Amino acid sequence: MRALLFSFLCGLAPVLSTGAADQLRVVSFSTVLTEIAEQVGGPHTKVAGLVIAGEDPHEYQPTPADLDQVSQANLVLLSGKQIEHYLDKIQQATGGKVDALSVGDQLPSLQLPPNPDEEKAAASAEPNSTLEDPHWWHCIANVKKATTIVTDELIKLDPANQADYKKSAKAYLANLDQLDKWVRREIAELPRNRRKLVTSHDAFQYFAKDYGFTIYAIEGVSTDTEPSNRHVAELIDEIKKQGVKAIFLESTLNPKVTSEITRETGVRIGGTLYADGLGTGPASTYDGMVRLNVSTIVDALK
Amino acid sequence: MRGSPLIRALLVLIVLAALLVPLRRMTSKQRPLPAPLQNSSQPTVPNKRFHLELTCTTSPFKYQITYSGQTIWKGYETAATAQIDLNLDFPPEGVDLVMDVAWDEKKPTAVKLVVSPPDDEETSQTAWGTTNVSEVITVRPSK
Repeated sequence: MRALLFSFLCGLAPVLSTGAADQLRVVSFSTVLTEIAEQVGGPHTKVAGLVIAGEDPHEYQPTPADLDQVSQANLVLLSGKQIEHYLDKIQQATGGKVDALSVGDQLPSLQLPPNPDEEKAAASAEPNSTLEDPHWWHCIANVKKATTIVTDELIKLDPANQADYKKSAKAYLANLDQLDKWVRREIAELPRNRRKLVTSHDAFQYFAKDYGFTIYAIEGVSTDTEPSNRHVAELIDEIKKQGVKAIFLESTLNPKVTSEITRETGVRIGGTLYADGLGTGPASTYDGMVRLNVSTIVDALK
Repeated sequence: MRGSPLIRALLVLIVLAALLVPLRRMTSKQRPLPAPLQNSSQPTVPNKRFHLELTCTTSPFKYQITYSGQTIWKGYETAATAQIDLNLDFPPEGVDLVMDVAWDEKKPTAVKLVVSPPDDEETSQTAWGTTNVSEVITVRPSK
């Protein structure tokens, strides 16, 4: 009994000894990175997710209170790949003193042709120019790399607790491996010639590359532009030509145009996908979000 | 009601005739929504004969191979290798086969599935496990 009590107290010791003052203050602008920091950091970190679950990161604007949290952080996690259009405000808030880690910028990029409906892209578009797809979290291998990047940074800032960070990261990475296996099995039920995904905006190219899908997106990589009538008409033609079975809504977008396309084509709505990060309920974890997206896609296109 | 029976009958006929159009609209079949897309110009998927060979370093073992959610080959093998020839739809995008293999003796084991299309390069995949393996193997036309 004494031995049991001793082991219990030993297990509790790291938690009790980590007071709020000792914790690393981490601020995250990505729901996925928030989860990684919480899972790997455990009791040694206090993580504040400023872009919250269900919020559109393309539309997010930091408030003065958010910038105040940024200025007091030990580590700022950025999604990167140009999704944080407010980066200058963050740099001003930190005055260059805080460690801002742009995780996505260290991951492989998919380059997409610019969508003619996206004003900014069109204005700067040169022949053969491309846009960087910021939705890297739809590739599980990228999330594994992001986990390693965040773990290394936590160890750099707090080397005394590196054993705990490594142990937590190992467990999280093992779960991601299991998740990838599950996804491959589920998607194998869908014949490859039926893997055609019509989505509200162009957020699933990393997923498409990994699992053999072709994407037909209503909007471009960002959600801040409305699709033109011409683009919608072309998309309707393509949906008919390709014999697409279902189209998908997104949790953070207005389904108006999607509904118009279903009226014109007779294709049904396949469900709602989580495109821009974690959601609520079963999609409030990365594992849950991926499983929900994959089940919705496979059920609708089977 | 007074008046000539002929005029009364005529009035009834006029009322019935006026009701005919809305009644027909209400009772006739609704205009259908646009039909779900079936593109007749889409090519039919070619069906080809494949040779499958499954090798497991621990025997006996039981196995199941599925294609688009359907079991296409399953069995129990006491030798190290099982093989079969079967027909599969083989679209230009390729196919995913799910391989599930399990054995009784708990020990590190390698399982290899070789898929040979009739006029194309073979595809193979090896997986390791201690009691079972579950893997997806993708076979694509090389040409």
